[in-house]
Amino acid sequence: MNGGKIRNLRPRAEGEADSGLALVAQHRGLVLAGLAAGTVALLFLTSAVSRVYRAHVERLAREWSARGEVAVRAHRPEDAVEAFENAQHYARHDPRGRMRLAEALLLAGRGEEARSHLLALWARAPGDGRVNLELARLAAADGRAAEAARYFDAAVHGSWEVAADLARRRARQELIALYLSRNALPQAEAQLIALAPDLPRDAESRTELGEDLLKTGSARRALEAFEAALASEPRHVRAAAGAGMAAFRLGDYSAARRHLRSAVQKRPDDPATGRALATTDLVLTMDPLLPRLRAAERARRLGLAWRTAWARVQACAASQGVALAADPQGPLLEGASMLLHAHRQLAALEPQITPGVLRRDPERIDSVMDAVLAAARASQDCGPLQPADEALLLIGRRHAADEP
Amino acid sequence: MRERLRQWRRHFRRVPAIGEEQAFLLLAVYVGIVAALAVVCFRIAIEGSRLALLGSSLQASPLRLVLAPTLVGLLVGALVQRFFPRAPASGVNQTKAALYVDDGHIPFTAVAGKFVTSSLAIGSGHSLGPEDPSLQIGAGFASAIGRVLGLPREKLRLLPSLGAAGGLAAAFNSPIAAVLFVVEEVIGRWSAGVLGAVILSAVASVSVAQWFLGADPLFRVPEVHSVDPRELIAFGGLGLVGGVAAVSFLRLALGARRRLLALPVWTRYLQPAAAGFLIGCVALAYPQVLGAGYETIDAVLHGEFSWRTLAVLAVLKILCTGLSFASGTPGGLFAPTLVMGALVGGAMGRLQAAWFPDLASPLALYVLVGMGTMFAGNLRAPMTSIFMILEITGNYTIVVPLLVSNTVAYLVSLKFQRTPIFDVVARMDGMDLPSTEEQREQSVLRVENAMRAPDGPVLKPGETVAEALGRTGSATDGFLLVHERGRDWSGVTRARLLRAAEGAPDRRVSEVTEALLPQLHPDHPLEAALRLVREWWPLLPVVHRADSSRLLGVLSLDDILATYRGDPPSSGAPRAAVPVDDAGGTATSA
Repeated sequence: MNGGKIRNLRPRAEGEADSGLALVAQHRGLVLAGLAAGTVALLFLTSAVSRVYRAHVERLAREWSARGEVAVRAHRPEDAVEAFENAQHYARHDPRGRMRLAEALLLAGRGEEARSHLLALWARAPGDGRVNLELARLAAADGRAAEAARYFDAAVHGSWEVAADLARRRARQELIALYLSRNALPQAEAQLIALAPDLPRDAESRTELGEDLLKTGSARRALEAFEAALASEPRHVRAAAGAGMAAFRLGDYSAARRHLRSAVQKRPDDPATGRALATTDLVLTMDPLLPRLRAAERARRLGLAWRTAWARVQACAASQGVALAADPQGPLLEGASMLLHAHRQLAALEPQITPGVLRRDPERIDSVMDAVLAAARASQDCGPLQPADEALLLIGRRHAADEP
Repeated sequence: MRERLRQWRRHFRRVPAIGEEQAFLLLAVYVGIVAALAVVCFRIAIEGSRLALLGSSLQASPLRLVLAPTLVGLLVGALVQRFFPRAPASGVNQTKAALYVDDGHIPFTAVAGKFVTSSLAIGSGHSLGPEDPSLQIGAGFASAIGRVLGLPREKLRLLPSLGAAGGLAAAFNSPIAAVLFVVEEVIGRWSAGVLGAVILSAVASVSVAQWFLGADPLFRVPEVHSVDPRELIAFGGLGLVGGVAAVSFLRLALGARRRLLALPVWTRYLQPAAAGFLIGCVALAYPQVLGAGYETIDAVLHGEFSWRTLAVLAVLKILCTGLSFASGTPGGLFAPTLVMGALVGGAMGRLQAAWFPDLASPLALYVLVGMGTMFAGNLRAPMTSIFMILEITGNYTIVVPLLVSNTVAYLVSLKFQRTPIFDVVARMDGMDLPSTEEQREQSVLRVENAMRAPDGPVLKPGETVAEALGRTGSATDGFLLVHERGRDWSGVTRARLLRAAEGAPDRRVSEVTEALLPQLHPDHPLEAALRLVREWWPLLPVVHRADSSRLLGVLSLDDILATYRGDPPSSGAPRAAVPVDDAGGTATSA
């Protein structure tokens, strides 16, 4: 259009004979054709210009994106951020590019900026597993556990472009780790149960599952997992140790001794396993209530249990300054009173721990053991337990569980 | 075949012809489309010049950072002084001038000049935005179309406003904000016909622009959520700081422009280059001050800077934009205003998070509210500022903080910078355009401001002329009201009563009264009352809206003129009703 010519066109005053639109009506074919031609020309010009521009911009976006990938591989996160930011400038609404930018920002330690991009991506695709996983990690790192759990859960159930099963499994494992770190054991156990069928059948995966289950307190499921691991790889040390610990927690001391011995033989320098084995041995050698024991052996074990309890009570009374000769009915603290009761019971039962008495009156075994266990319980707050004391408590717990 | 042609012809004759109003609405759509095509080309031109001058990286090399705005400043200065003297003028003012002064005429050379010089300046990094030029480009194209079509003056005057709405809508990708801005700042009045045409133009424009440039907003907005009501205090604080920042910017920019305009004319060749050089030097340390700054808004929205950096950037952006504007470099203030607001809002958001971590919304909320706040404070378009941010975010949880902050900033700006920037710039350019803000802020005088108690009795139609004259006593009003039956009022002059009394004093008042009088209500604009008060209706009754038999006061031409002159009321302000007694007298007369 020519500015000079246009300027010469005089605006029509109101009330002139023909209104402009009436004039257009008279010559509308010509005027409208002219305008249509001008518009089409402008349209074509704009299309052509925008097509060229868009192609150029897309090329720039690809180039910058490629530079960003190179920088990521070269461990230059700041350069990667700059490159991905440039790429985003030219492909502003490309979610993949934005995700790469967010990941580069995370690599560069710029979590807040990354979070902002991730949140925007999340708003666009709330079911994207990758976005949810990164948001969950950020939330977990910031100590926002509930938010992190929500994002992890969304990542587990979200969509993944590649290797979906593996990605979901890893997301769930991170969620489990979060729950365990927060001592949310029932939630962790639920996730472990859900995870179990998805895990590979190899010994390492099963062992890890068992270890996590053991942390949640689910000893039976842990034992199954360890046994599955041992079935595929019998010489797996951690699986054997884990199976021993699980059997120990379940009170199956025979199985525990078998697995723990196997583990200690292969790795004798593991103190936790060694200590568990020692306690297990004590439980099995001290327990006077085991079936099929000869009377002499039962009396020996009962005597050993009595002596252990007696020594513990004496030591405990000495450490707390309680005079064992005092009257237990007198004005005493509750702990001291229990200790005096236990001491008196033990003292009264000492002459009865002979094979003859026990053979004549098998009920005495129970009353002696009750007194021994009462003494062990009364003194359990007096400093760290010795292996024999711990064994006594475990024996008591084991047989309490057996009672109807 | 001929028969078929005849059938077609008959068919087309049956299609009803469209009226002028419908044709104008169609024209509005067409104008919107053309404006959008022009603005798409303009935006591509800006981006193209940026790529050519600063390179494809957002972090340009130091040499480019200094040289590009300086050399382009030299070129633009020469182009403006030699070929496009109207290019630096505000697009808003030129569109207003087309509406109020030039009968809708915007020279096409001004549009071409704006296109070329603005795209170069913004692309090279001058701290200016593309919206005001887009508005002017749209208006210029619309003006050209109107002149090609030979539209009548009334339509031709309006057409650039439609083009402006189209241009702004395409530039901002936000039709509601564009419509509001044009109605609020350019046209200054709301009428169904104008509004419909403006909306059609903006919608058509946005649709076409989105076809070419995509539907996404200019920057990526993170998720924001609702705020704790207690946090509104912080947003009030943001409004205060934003208002002060806006006033600082306006004082700086307008003061510097006044001083630079006072320098010899030859210096205007160099002023854009000098501004460009200084901006380039600043950009060596803070490249975020360059250009329109949408990337900076994006970065701030995503939490890229500390509060100190944000505060420094806000000050530098204010300085650089002031420099660019004062030097007469063509370009707009919309985008830099948004950037300043984003920086101020970001800094405030960071401080809030540091001081009151439990009462801090996401940073993006502060940034967005800051943008609206600065827009309200700088450009003084409060409605546009609110709807623009709403359109950008598509999130209505932002409304309350936005309202609080914008209102505070607007009031601060109004208090310390009485005249809006567009009006000041228009006066600097030698034009005295009607100020939409002055119109908006002007208090409308109403009938209640001018009415008074009647100085005489209210007559009854059934009483005799003699009785009526007996009751008038010392009344000074030459015209007496007559309360007809029901809710009607008529009147009679005292002179006529006297004449009637000389011939037949027993005649009824109803026989000598004039026709029924129009009635006024206290809330009527005084302007409307002025049209009714004629020589033969020297006094009009002001009656209650719910009961027009209840006289509240009277109004004469003298009362109206005295109120316009600001004279003190002669007989108090009779706001209370004037009871009419059984005898037709009033409490006053009694």
